[in-house]
Amino acid sequence: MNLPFDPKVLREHQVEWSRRTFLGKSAQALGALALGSLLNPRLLGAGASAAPGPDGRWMGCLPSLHFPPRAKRVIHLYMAGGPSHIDLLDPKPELRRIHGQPFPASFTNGQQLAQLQNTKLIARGSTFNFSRCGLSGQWISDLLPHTQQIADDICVIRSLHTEQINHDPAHAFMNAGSMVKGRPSMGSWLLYGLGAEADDLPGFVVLMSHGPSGGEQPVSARQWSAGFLPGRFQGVQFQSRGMPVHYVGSPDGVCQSTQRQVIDEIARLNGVHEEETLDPEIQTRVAQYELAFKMQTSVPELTDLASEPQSVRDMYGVKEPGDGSFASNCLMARRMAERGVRFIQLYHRGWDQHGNLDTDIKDVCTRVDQASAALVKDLKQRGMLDDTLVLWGGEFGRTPMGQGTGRDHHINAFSAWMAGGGIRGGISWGSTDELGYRYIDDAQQMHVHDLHATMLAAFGIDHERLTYRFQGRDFRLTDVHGKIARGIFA
Amino acid sequence: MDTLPAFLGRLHPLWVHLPIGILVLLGILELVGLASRLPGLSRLPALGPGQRALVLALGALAAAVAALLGWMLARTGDYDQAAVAHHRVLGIAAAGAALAALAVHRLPRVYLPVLAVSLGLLAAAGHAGGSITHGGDFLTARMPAPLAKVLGIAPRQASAKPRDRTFADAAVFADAVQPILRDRCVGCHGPEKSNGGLRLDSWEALSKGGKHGAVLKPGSAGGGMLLSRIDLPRDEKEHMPPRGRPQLSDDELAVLEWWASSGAAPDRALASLDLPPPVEDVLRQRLGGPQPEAPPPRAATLEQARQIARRLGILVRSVSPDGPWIDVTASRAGRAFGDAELARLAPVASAVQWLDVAGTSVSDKGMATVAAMRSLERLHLDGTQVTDEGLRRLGRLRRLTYLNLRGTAVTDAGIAALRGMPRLRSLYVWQTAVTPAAVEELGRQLVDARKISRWNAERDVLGREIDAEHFEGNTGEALRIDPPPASANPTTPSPLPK
Repeated sequence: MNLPFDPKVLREHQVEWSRRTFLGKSAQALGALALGSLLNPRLLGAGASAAPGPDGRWMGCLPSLHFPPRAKRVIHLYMAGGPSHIDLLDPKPELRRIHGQPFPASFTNGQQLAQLQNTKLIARGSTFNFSRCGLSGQWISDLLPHTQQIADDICVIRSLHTEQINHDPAHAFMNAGSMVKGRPSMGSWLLYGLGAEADDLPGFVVLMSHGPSGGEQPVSARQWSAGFLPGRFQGVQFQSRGMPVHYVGSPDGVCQSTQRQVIDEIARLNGVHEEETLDPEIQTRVAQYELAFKMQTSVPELTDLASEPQSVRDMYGVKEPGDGSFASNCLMARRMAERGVRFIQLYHRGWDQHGNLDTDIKDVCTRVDQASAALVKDLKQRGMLDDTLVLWGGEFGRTPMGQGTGRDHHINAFSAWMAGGGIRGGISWGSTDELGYRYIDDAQQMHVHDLHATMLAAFGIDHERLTYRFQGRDFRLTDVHGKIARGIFA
Repeated sequence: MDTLPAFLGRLHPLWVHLPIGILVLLGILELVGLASRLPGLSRLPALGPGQRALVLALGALAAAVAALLGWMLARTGDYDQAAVAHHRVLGIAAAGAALAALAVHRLPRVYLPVLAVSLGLLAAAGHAGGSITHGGDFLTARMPAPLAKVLGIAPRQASAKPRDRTFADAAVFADAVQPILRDRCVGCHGPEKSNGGLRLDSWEALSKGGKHGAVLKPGSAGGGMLLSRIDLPRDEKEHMPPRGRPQLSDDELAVLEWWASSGAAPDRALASLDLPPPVEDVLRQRLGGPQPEAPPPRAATLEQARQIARRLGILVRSVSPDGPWIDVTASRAGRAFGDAELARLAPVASAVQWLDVAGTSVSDKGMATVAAMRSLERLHLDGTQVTDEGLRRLGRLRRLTYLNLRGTAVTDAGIAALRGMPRLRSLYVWQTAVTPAAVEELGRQLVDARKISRWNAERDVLGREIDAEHFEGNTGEALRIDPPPASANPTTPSPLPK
């Protein structure tokens, strides 16, 4: 028995740790430590408790949540292009009254406009009817008859505003709270903070669908980038048409056990390499190999939409499973949510109606409305809406001024709706002036930063305390802004 | 000039002490005078006839004035009429006896008995008067039991031992509310004395209200007049209990406020209600019985939970920065996770706040482990083997707000066993044999009926929807496009762009 205070052991210890050896060893150790922390800031960072769980799984950097959580996952129905709040969620009778007249200059003087800059501004009222819906009497456009049916489950936010007036930077702002490249998107932040429930699927999955023409602006992959966070937190785009993940099957003649041996050996070699270089991205690499192996069985099971009963497919309006439609993606999103994917982002393009708004918006609504509402209903009947936060909205809104037969980009006000995840249904949050031009600056105004802060709060995360040190500074999703809209929670 | 008698009347309670003082002093002096006749006590003073006449005249005059003032006060009608009549008879008799004593004060054999009677009447009248303001049992309520027994006074209802109930089997009115009313209110609003025509000594009397109508508006924000009078500032005239009377303690007030605003039925069991934690603590303390358990230590619990989770391959997350509460997700483990695995969570059971075992092979046997998770708020049992039998074991999860039973074999009988979950607000029974009627019945028992706005029975969806009070209500308006106005205004371009 070598008790620590055994005189013999103590003497050996004293000899080993003479003054000289002590000085020599500490210098080496400090140097190694300093080098290590340079290469991997998390080694000495405040959140270093971010211990990987069993078999190297990331369990999140937060040792515990800051608030009682409400939500466990997000489904973001991303209406890319800028849906017109004037025609969908924010009825403006006064705008309709002055339709065709010059837009009051008191609203627009000195304001930034996109393509309407230096043109004559004419008010353009909505040509669509609005109805009060549900028990709550929420105003929703008749363009969205299915969304009207879930009026009591959703909270319509009318006071959103953003800072970027063109699509790509505005997408970046909505996703990452900054137009600057290299910032992590909110899905990456959530994964970094909480980890994922599933270990056989990525924690952050992106699906893309599009309108009839297919000629919309592309949405760049930087929108789901992990930025300066380790690459394992990046969003993974699945193909919404055909095979969701390419080459997920093993080649002929390779069985799963062979595959397993290959991956184990690569992981071992990667481990050796990591010990030498201390590069955190090697961990990402190892994790991705492991995940890909598991996805060989999980993905075919996930994407087997044919196993859904016909009634469910009809509810979403899925014509053919896996046809790349928004409806098919919504159904897939629900299946991912059931399987523990943390952040699911469904892009639907086709909302950028600079012209032909009246016909085009109708078309895109028919593609989106039924499936969006069906997703909420389906989550609800499964009891998943309580901890699934659904966000429906775009990167900005559209002008109350006409642009020929359409509307231009608009950042001073736009609308979105949220459901589930502890959000109070049947209410509206915030408002705009009588022409829908600018948000009313009251306690219910909601900048994109505030939206982010509120979404993180639904997960029990204080947006001011989810940080990552990069280039000598602690970064947050909400930068130095963000106010939680507490009243939006039930 | 109406106010003058009313004002003078209010001097009555002050003035009455004057004749009492004079006549009692006279009685004492007469006793001393009698004693001076005894051998050896001749040095004691004795009243002369002139002094006696003077004191008696003053006493009788003061008594007459007191009676007159009393009559003025009684006219204002603020008092219980029967008690006032009783006092009046005794008071006039006492004043009359004093005058009679004055008339016969020269005849010692008659005078002394008359004076004695007068003093007796004075005592009785004084007691009757005191009873009007302080209540009939003011003297006897705190009387030591042996003395009360000697005097033959029946022990009062209130001084009887409170009903022998603990929190677990206590009823709302009889055990939580009534003891407070009895201590603080029934003295003036009870069987002996019902100021303002209001009695608070029983549920029936209370719900009848007083001369200003009902005192309780169940469920209204203020809780009705009872609470609004109690809530007035203490120096306000209308404040109850009146100034100078023992006031409600904060704990008692908390109970009354919760009770008045909850509108809970008087015979509901406390244990079946969703009590705000502070009120529950107060009631548990007052009623005795098992006290709330202290939460387990945080750090040790979390460490233990993480080890268990690692061994079982499930997820555990701490959901509170300052409590030991954890969220346990076992659903990703699938069928490999069963009752035996669930039982391994037993050491940390009291810290589990959310539990998700959806789609696992957990069955009724495992519900014994779940039943020990007293802090549980959300429970996913969807797609498990749980049946009615298992649900019966969960009856005491009082904090549960969310229960998912989708795709299980539960039936209406199992649903009925959830009555003991006062906070249950979301119950999911899609793809089960449960009928809407059973869920609705449960909802009625758990939640005040007025809070149930709607049961969503759309197709076979059964989700509970309650607490829709914040809804502004659908007025059915719509914003329709008016037909384009005839081009009355030439400066306006075509009505609507194509």
